[in-house]
Amino acid sequence: MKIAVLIKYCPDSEAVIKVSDGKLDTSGVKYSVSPYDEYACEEALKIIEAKGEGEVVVFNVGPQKNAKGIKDELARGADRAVHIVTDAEVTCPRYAGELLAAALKEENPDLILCGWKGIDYDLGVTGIKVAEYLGIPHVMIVTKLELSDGKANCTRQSDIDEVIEVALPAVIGTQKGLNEPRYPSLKGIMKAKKKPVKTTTPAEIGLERGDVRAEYTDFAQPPSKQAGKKFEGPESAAEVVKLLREEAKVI
Amino acid sequence: MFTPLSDIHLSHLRSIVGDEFVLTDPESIDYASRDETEDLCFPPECVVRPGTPGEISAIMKFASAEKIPVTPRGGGTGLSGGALPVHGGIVLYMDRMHEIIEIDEGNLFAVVETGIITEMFQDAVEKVGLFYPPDPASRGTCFIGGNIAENAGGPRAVKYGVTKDWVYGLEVVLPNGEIINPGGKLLKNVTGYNLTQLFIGSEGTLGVITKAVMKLIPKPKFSAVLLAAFDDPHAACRTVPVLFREGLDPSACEFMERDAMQMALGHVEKTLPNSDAAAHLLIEIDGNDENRLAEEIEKAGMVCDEGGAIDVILAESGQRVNEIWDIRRGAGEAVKSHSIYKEEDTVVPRAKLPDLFVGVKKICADRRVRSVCYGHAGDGNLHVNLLKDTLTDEEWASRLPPTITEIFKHCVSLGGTISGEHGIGWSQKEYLKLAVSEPELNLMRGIKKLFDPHGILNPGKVIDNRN
Ligand SMILES: Cc1cc2nc3c(=O)[nH]c(=O)nc-3n(C[C@H](O)[C@H](O)[C@H](O)COP(=O)(O)OP(=O)(O)OC[C@H]3O[C@@H](n4cnc5c(N)ncnc54)[C@H](O)[C@@H]3O)c2cc1C
Repeated sequence: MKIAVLIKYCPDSEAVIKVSDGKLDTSGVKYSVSPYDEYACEEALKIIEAKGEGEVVVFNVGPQKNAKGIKDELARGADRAVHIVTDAEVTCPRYAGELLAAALKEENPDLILCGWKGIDYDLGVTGIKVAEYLGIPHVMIVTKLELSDGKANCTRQSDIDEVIEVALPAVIGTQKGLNEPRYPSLKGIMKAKKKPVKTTTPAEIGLERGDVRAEYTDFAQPPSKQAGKKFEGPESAAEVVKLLREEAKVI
Repeated sequence: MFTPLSDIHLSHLRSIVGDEFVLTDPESIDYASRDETEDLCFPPECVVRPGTPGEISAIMKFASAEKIPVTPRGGGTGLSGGALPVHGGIVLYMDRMHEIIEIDEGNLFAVVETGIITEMFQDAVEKVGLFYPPDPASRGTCFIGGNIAENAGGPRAVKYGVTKDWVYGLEVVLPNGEIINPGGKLLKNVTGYNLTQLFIGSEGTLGVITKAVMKLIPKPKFSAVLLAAFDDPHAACRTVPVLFREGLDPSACEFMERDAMQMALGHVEKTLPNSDAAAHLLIEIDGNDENRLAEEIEKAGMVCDEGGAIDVILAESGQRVNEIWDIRRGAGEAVKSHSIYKEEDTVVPRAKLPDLFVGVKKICADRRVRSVCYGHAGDGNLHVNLLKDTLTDEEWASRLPPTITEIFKHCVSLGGTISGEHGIGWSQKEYLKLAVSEPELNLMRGIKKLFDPHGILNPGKVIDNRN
């Protein structure tokens, strides 16, 4: 069995992103693999380990620096990777999906796993686009996955858990709760150095210009919250009521 | 001796700080009668929450004249009973004095009132990209004043030093009410005796610290953590000095034996692949160059591997790093919630850690007292938690003191001492003579007498004012 895992290399969940001149300032910001994608990789590894045969192939589209994120997943245990190297980050999920789908076609995986959204832009579109370009089904926000004879049984998190069956190959978008991703080990890191990473480019794939229909034009910091006010003692009650009425306009 | 508080005293205190800040209700009294030291309980006669150094000065003058004990209290997280009013009197609760007066980005100094919670101070400086490294595991509750009074450490001390290395100036109210300002935003200062440093670690016995000038640095951009599992705790301890000899400069190097790890995992409801290993080392490295950091963390992993680690795992993303730290930070509470306990804060030269650990385990096994050890291995600082567990009250009472004495003697014989960061306070006082010579004790008594001739400031702590 061949499982493809799509990963995104994003500013770390702890990172503070500043905005300057309508652009995101990511200089000096730490990047890591989007946590949702860690669930995808862990699930792929568990499936292959249980089967005792097969391989996990990591796919990423983005600039050269993403090699570090790819290495992290190889260190966790993925077997090899395909990196579509772009000059800059691909911010249009439609184009990212198109590129990934093209690379995936060549590999023909039996199952495609990815985080249901990236932790950076929170869009949740890329995986769906991949499925669309490949003409295969998708299920997103999956917290439980069972495979049996060419089918995937997915529990999709919602107000009520939905159980959805799809034929493979399919794109499954993973959500927190699916598993506990392992930590990479030193041995894994050493092994990862020798694992093959195939690099290609949009030009080689023949998609130098994607079907980009939406672009980010500006970023702005939301107005910062006003500092809280503190009132002490019962005698301040009248003042609080006044402010609730006149300033906060809630009563 | 001391004068019990009368209504006249209380009304005078009220005239100094205002009615609402002199508390005698049972809840306030109960709160101020305990800290985090075992089950010690010493109720004060009243709790005063001062708002300015001037008010504290007036209180100290009054208390000196009337012979009323005054005990400063920070966050109340102390582990040697320092904030407990063992002779009653007034507890001076510093919580109202919590302003950050200044963050001076030009000189990289901050000026704060000492009632600020350590973590709030850290968060505030991190907002402007700066860093105050000392990080006692209690940082969410303890105050900067308490950190200064205890010279607190924490995991990062191995690279960045302890509280004393970050305090450059103070404002202190002396027991006679005088207010002094030793030190300042000066990186060099040889102007007479170093009074600033004398107050650091003085455990609230020499003066009430009201403001502090704290050094800051830019925050390192990246950090990564590795966790190495060993099936032999001795091998884990032996690996620690090798890391430094190999030129690594970890920002933390922590040790946990099996029981500590398993209790901590239970406490934070986590699992780890090698949770049943005999010991773990947690090593953190920070820096500004991501590639170099990756090389260094790999090298640290190799050193552990060569030192006999059975497995080494890595955490790099912020989320993963936090997960591992939550386990380590949870260890103290996890172990302490397990049973009645007594915690010892042994410290030896780093390379003697293996001998300290082996000796402690043997002493405890021989005396049939359960021990759980973890600590700041890079500093040679091992926290030994002695647990009552299944012992009867009598067994606990009779076995504990000789076990502690023997542990401390062993520690001192290795060139170590009996407290690395928790202080002597009340609970370790009887053991001080094991580590400090009589002439030194006499000097300390003389210093105490000079600062506090009436013996009203935190009486009964650190040393007894005999002679
Ligand atoms: C879960 C836990 C983890 C801990 N981890 C660490 C750790 O990693 N490293 C470490 O070093 N310690 C640690 N400690 C011990 C403790 O948190 C520190 O000693 C801390 O510095 C105490 O600060 P506090 O504000 O709580 O002081 P308190 O307990 O309130 O007081 C401690 C002493 O300081 C004096 N004092 C307080 N404020 C002033 C002031 N303004 N002027 C003069 N004297 C004053 C008091 O009189 C007392 O003697 C830990 C404690 C707990 C409970």
